Amino acid sequence: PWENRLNSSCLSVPLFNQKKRNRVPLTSAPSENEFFSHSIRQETQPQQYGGTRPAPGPAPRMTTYTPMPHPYKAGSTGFLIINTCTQQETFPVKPAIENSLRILTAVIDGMRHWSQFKDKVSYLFEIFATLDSAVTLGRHGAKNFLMRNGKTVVQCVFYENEQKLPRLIRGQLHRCVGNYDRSRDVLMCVSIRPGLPSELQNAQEAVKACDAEMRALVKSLNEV
Amino acid sequence: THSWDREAIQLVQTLIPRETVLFIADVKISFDSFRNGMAATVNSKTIITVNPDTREASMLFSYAREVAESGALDQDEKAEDMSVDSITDVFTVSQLKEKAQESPEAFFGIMYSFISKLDLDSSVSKVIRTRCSRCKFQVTDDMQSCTNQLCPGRDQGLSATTGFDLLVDFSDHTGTLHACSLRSPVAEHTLGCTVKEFTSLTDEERTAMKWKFLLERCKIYVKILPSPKARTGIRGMVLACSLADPGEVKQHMSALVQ
Repeated sequence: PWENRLNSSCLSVPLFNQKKRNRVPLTSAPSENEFFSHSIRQETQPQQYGGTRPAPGPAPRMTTYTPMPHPYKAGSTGFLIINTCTQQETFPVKPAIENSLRILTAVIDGMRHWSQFKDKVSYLFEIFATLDSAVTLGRHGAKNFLMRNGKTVVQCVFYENEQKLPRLIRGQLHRCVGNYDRSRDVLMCVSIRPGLPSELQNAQEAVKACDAEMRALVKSLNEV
Repeated sequence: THSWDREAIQLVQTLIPRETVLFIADVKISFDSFRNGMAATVNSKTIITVNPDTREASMLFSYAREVAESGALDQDEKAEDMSVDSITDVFTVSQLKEKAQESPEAFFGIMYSFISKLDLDSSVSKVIRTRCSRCKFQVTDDMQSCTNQLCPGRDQGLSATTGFDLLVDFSDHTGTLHACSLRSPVAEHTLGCTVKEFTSLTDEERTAMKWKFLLERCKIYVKILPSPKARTGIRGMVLACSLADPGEVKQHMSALVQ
């Protein structure tokens, strides 16, 4: 309702006093092809608006660009959008391939497979696997351990930058989220915790959905 | 011959939103398929009068000020009254983005996605913000009045609200929804912690709280506002967020592969 009121008020010409309008030509020289003199009038004196607050003053001269701080977020001025281009422009609507971060639930083999497309898309992996080694201390405080899915094992590393490695129990299910380093065949874990049996069971469906998404993505990568 | 109109651009850049009344004569009004709505286009015949000296303009200005003060224009920013129980549509991140591109209307949905950005342990001032209740401008508690030049209640005493004010990213296997706003009171429910409790936490406790949610799969009720001005063309507001139930995630995932 607000917008309608505003639009109709702004656009219904008879509401305004037409006689007061002056045409002030712009200083720029009109091009040879211009038939109409393009003029924008600016008020030269402040207007009286009711109320206790000072009226909005004259707009600054057009040549000065003064960005004003404003409490409201942009995008909801309530006015018609003034398209300052004289022609409908076509804008790029969407990049062909979504390249924001993805998080894929995968089994270890799947993680190794999908990581070959890392230069095209960025992703982290979530895996559910069994701790298959003791935790050993590496260089720069690295905590190293092995994770297993069936017959497949992957080397993992965790750095205690922000949080300590929680107590991990060998032979138990864990959930790891991290970045797979293909060249070193190591999963750099950023989050690790014990996994719930129900999570492992339910993760199968997530793995399927992620595989399907990745197959479709790889197909579209090949088409581009 | 179709060139951007430099003069008109420079003029509108100087205008203060919600503070300026424009009288525009001779604009071309046509459907803009990019913005999905009617748009007015300035051409060589157009005359723009800034703050015209008419009774109608004065009334319009007063009305706009009143409405702005009432907060009615901030509808988009408000956590909806809509109960999350009535939200049932489930989306992946890419489905949300697609839908936002198709419809100019705000819509609601559920996501089962990972929180991939949650800056709870950066400085407290980035997590909790105090804003003027009238104009939502950021202020500090010790101020006597709002520092926003354009605040409608500037001459009155400061009336401020302090709350969580976070921007959170959500990722799933289809992509990331960036910078969704997670504010009070939703943030209190999500984190299980009041603003006051949060401010008394140590850095370590904040980091621990962050890792309770960061990179965990959550069920997120979200309001999506298509926003042509945002870099991503979309703005998300979190209406509810909690760790997801694995059984529900499974149902969502199996629905996707069918």
